[in-house]
Amino acid sequence: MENMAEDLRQKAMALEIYNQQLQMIQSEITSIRALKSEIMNSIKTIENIKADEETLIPVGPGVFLKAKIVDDKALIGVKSDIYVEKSFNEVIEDLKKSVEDLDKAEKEGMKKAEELAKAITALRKELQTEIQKAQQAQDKKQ
Amino acid sequence: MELPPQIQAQLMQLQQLQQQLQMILMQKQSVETELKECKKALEELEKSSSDEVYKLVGGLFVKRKKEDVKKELEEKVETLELRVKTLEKQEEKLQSRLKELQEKIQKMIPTAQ
Repeated sequence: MENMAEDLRQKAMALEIYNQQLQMIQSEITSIRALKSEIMNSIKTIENIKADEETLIPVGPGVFLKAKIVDDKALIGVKSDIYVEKSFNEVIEDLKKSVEDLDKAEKEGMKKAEELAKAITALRKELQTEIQKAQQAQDKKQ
Repeated sequence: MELPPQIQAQLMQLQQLQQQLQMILMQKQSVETELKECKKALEELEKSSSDEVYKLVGGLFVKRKKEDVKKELEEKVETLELRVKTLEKQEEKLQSRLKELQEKIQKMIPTAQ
């Protein structure tokens, strides 16, 4: 009986850990999707901007300044504090590569989440069956 | 059943060692991430055709010579690689101390019972 209770306790703990892991992966997937959407917006912006054209630069909620694009170059971060100048086309290529990498990470995350969800369902079923068995054994005793 | 004080003390030491190891592993992971970032940045600088790069200082971009930034990054890579090696050594030492202590405790438990 004691062994059974210990087994149940361990399975319940495993279920809790799996659930936490699933939540973490799901939150990572959400962050990846948000970043992807931000990058896609940047690509769209750069694709639609041309040198010497006038544009509006957002400086706050609903406030814009008129600005002119002086050349077809943008700064892109290569490290958190280092930026290099690249042509619009190069920047678009880099950004597309980032989207591809994020796509891969998203797929991997989704695969892991699916596997974990399956394991959670199986473990939950096992736990339910064992709890029922334990209850039946207790009822018989009484 | 209460454990004998001697075993309790050893178990506490084991826990402390485990915490130390956890901290070392976390530090190593963060240094390795920074190292990877620096190496990637160096690769990107090599690819760039421009002689100048921009460095974010506070909220401002400052124009810097690419060669100077490259040198800085190379030095940083060296320092970080050294730091990883030191952390690896500390990790190894802690792992072996942990193993020794675990064996010691395992040997103590049957005699205590």
